Amino acid sequence: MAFTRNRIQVSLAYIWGSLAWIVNGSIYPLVNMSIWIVVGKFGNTNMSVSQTISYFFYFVIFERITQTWSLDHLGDDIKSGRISNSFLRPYHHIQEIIAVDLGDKISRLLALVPYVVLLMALFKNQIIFISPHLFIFLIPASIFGYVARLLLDSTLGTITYWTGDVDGIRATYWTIGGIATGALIPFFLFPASVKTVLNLLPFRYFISFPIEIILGQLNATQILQGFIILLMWTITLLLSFILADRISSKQYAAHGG
Amino acid sequence: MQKVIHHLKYYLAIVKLSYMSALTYRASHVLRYFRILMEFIISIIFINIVFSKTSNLGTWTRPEVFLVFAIWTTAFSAHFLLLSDSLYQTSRDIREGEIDFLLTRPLDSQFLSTFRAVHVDNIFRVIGGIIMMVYSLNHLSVAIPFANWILFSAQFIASVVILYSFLFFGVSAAFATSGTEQMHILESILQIGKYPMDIFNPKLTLLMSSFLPLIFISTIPAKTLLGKLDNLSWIIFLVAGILFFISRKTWKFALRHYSSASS
Repeated sequence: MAFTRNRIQVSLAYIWGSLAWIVNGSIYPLVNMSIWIVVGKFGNTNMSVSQTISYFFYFVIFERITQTWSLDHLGDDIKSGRISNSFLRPYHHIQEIIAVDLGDKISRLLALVPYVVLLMALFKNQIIFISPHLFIFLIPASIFGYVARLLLDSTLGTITYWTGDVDGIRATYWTIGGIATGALIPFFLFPASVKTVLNLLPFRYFISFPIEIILGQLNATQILQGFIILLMWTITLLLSFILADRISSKQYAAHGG
Repeated sequence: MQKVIHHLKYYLAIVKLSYMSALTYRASHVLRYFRILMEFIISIIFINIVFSKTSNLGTWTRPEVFLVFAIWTTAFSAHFLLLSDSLYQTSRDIREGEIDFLLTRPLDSQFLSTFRAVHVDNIFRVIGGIIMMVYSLNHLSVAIPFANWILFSAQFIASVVILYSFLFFGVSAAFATSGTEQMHILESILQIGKYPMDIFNPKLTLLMSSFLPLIFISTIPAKTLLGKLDNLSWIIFLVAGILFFISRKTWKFALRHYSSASS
């Protein structure tokens, strides 16, 4: 709690940073939204303009809700040797990472308000609003999506114990995530064969899955199937993290004297 | 002349140092190559999926869109090959008060802030971009006059200058914002340039050609290769010159008003 509170205060002190974070995170989805609207205009995407706008509008929101900085924090802490301090503390360093993550998230989600207001004013007749009964699905989908993403990021972060540097892992992960999460191409528009593969990977469940529920692209069976896969990934990633952390941290040798 | 040689020697030392430092973390170095390969695969998948839904984007066909994308990739990669993330590093140093160490060195301050590291792996992005360009031109089967190749080459250099100058505004802005976020925003805006600008809403296209220099990065050079010359084909040089001049003036202005955090 102390870490989270401290982090909220730090983030609020750099409010320009939080606003810039939202602006920066919105540009890419908004450009992709324009591209898919153009594609829909000249061809056939089976997605209406309203669905396309709503997809990318919600993409920014859910991307921010489930975003985690654990890969950066863990990787940088290992590289710089700061992780040594965590080993001396009476709690696991992942707890500190989660606390910092939540602190950043709470303050930065506040910066989403201007984005939501602006986009709703611009596309007031186009955005598909969330039906209240969907919150039963959206809340667990967001929580589990965040937990699974946190665990995947943290598991990848432990590779830094072996490689000594996080940059290459991060860059590769972001590049793959850029397409597999549905940031570039909405999941609905992938060819069936690619969809089958993406359906089994965890990336779709980080962001796209709750949006597909909102847009009514999934029936009850598909929603249930999605939750089962998400839950299985969460458990698998939890076990992977525990194992990777236990094996990799033994590899660690502190820098400096 | 001696001054130029001095700067060039410094730059070569930076290249050597960057390569040696990249090899310190071999796994990361190898992963960067893998990432480059993934980026190209993803771009090809993306364009193919787009064109599986439509036969053209406005007046642009699939190979033409590939060409624009390839030119953007080559220009962007050439920019990062030459100076890597030096501009980000300078912005961070401004925030942390470490820029003073750079300013006290006996070389031009803008040069020092611009050339601090090189990611040699970007050469593969440049090569990949060129391969994509050749691929699209083969599919277009257009005969490009020699004069257009010359004009295209000059426009390509101008587009790299535009990219650099536009991003360098972000470095000067770091004196006011004390952060690097503006750099990310500017880079995200530049990403729009990978698509032909006139496929968007006319108002957006006007914005991108008048207030933002995006249309000049890849759309205008691509039009030159396609033989679609217009006034903008020549205005690009003026835009590059003006942007570079303003970015330098802004940097000098920011330096004049900078007071070190440590003293």
